[in-house]
Amino acid sequence: MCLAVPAHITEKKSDQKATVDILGLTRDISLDLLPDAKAGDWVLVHAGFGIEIVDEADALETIELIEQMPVGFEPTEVPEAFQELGYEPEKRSDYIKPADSGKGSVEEVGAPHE
Amino acid sequence: MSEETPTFDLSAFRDPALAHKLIERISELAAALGETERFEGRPIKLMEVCGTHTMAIAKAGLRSVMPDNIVLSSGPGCPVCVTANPDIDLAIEVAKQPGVILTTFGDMIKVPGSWTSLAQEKARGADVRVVYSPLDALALAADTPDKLVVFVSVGFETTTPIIAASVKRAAAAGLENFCILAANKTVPEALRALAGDPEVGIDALILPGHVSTIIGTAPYEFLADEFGVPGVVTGFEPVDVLLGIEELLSSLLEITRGGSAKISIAYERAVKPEGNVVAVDLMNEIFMPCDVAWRGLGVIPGTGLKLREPYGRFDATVRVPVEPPESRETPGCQCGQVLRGIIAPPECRLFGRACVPEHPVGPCMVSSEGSCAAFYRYRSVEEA
Repeated sequence: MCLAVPAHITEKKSDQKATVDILGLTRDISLDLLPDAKAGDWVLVHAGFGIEIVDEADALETIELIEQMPVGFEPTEVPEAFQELGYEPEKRSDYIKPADSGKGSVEEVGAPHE
Repeated sequence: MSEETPTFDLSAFRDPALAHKLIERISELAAALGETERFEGRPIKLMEVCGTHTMAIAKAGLRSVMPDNIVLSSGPGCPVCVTANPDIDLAIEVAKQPGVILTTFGDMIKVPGSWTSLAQEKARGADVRVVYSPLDALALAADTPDKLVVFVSVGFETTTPIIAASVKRAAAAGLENFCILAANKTVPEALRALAGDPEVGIDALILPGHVSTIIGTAPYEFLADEFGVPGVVTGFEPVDVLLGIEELLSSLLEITRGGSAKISIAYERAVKPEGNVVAVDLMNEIFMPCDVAWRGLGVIPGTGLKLREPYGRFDATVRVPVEPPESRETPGCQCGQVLRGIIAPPECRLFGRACVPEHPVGPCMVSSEGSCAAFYRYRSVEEA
């Protein structure tokens, strides 16, 4: 099963091994498939091996892409689960702004548009 | 646990506001497609071919927020599920041999073969051990020189380079009591079989995330060029999957307006167009293509992998020659049709009745990435 949570390389060791921090756990992995990875990089780990370096800048770009998409419809009826999370469709246009420092959290910027 | 542990913040990819926006875009696009000549009055079939997508879609309940004319179909994305009975029977037979320690990834343990499973044979005394990484099997071989450690190698291109690296290390270390049952498969040619099958009827493909991390996008170009099927490499968080679907529908709309199909990446943070060249080179250094039978799809030429000659001594079929009992297809099992996306899991006669995770009839119900397991685990409360 593909674990998609990036691990943080804390130390690169000899023989293409590295120590990583993943969700607070420390593991050793092999960098046989990522010889250019270095301490400080974020990597995807699968079966004890790093398989790719994950780029935070690319993640931000993807979020910005979505935020800049136009939507033609009026907000449809909001599912209950969204309401429980405090999502208010009238304020939807406030969510449409560039990502702020990659945190990804939604912030209000002022009065809703008409 | 340190307070300053840095985290790679993926919360934006679970943001309900972004998800809702993408769902609205998807509704718009689906409505527009429904008015085109090609798609009027019929469902639009998007297929995923990656077990992790199967689970991600089921877990996020994405089918319940899709417009009526969009079908999210699950294909042969689970490498364990597409392993044919004869290969499973062989692994089981090898496990029963004296002096053998059979090591495997966890999801193979309970998969039924023709007659039994690794878990059942372990209960009867076979030395079967679950490992997280093939490196664990290497370490075990080094620790137990009087035993032959056999690793059951199952997986697609995400896993194969890892096996290749492990075999290369075993060779470099002169480890003679380690070998593999090579049952890895490659994805692109299987997609050719699906794209060309009118019974399967795919309109667009949600391409696997981490297989593509390894192989890049070039191996999929034929889908667009030869079959006019667009493909988008998609990630696994809910927003990732919705973005992939949105891009596919956008692509399809463009095609109805005279545009051409394309392969693109919606999972930029983890996938480069050229893939991981080091991993691909390693895979090709150790393995070469061969023909192999897939559960449900028959033999697909060139999708199997076998060890190249310099590494032949790591082939378990040479080290442990066995004759497994004759294989059979389990009566009533419809995994083959599920794997081709011809039927959805709940349409299988045995689903939820004779076949449940506790006593599975076929691999789709028991594998951690199986379509039936996904549908069963995340079925709605009313159906429970």
